Amino acid sequence: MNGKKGKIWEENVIIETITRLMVPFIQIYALYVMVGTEGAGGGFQGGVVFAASIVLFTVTFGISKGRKRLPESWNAALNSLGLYLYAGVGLLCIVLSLGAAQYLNYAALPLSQIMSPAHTRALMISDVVEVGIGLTVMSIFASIFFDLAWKGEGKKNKDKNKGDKEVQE
Amino acid sequence: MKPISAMALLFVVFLGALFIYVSEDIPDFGDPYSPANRYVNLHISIDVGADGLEDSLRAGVIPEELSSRIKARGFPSPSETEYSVEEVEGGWDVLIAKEELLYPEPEKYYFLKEEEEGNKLVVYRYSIPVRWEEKCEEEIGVPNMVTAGLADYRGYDTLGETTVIFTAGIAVILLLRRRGKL
Amino acid sequence: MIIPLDLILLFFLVLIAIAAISVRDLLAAIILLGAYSFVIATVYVEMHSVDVGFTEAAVGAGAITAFMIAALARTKREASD
Repeated sequence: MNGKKGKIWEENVIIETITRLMVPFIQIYALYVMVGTEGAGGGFQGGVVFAASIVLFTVTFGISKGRKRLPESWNAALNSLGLYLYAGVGLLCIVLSLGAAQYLNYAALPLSQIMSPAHTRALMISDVVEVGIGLTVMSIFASIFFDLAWKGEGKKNKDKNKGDKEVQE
Repeated sequence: MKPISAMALLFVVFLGALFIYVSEDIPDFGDPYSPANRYVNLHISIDVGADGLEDSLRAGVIPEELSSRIKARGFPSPSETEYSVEEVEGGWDVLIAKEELLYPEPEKYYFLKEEEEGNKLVVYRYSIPVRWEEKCEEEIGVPNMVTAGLADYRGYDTLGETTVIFTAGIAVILLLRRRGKL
Repeated sequence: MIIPLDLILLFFLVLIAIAAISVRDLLAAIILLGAYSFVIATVYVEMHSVDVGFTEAAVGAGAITAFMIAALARTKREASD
């Protein structure tokens, strides 16, 4: 694949339009899988499918555009936000029930006075915990792919002013 | 030692202490006496004092009628294989535990409980899957039982799994990025 | 849970695995592993374990194949053993 300098692959209109069409639907499907507990799959599977959509986008539009879609700052934030959500809710059960409940025992949250304890657990699990797992898994898989595919970091150090013009096989 | 690494060390020690405190009061899953998942009602009830049931049990002999009823329900009957009647605390009257070399699996325990009305002995059996099936719907309102199990019954494992994925990502970031700044 | 179908799929899996090992071109091996993930996902779903099948399909075929191809971009295409 001999493209212009710095742009190894040529744009292919067909692939780009199809990807532009598919990526939003994959992401909606991932969110459906992640948040809804009816069907099979939970946070982990939803996160992976979301990451697959980012990977698809990056493969077609090149790393620089992909990196613009999920910049480094967002990536680092989402990494820990998901895990923080999960562990935080668990710890919240202890804090809010003043040490009465066990860790990760969602029935002890004050929500269970409004709804029945089973509903509080269902709400906590299917929304806070699954979304937390999904966030972490999504950003981790995306960041692993970006690191793996980041081919030109060796010589990029030398010419700092060239910006992040990646050369991707 | 630079102040930053001292702070980091202190933070790690604090997190370790929190982790130990948090994991102290989680009932270990296999413990038959832990209230959360102790028994499953087998709906077998034998009227006490039928033919000296009380003293035969106390003497450690499992009556034929009891074990045949249990066998009829499809569970391994206590009298055929080597079961023994043992003293038990924790609100039960009789515990029939399988004699194993090391320590009997909790799934093989039978608990007998004196029922008030019509002084019957009701047989309970310890089993996690059956309890999961029966109690999952009422305890956690999540329709998908697998997600309920993964997120709440074994929520601690999933937390560990997510941490493992997080650590893997950080490790890849540290290893594959040699651009000077992290 | 149709036993003969399982057996056929599992036998097909063995074929894919042997092919993935013996082929020289690394990209072909990666694509074969992607196919392996898809077939094993079908076997899981066919054995009534939908969650595991879903995870295997999403991770095995979706993410891992993409990672391996990205890693392949860094090394040579031909396996030189």
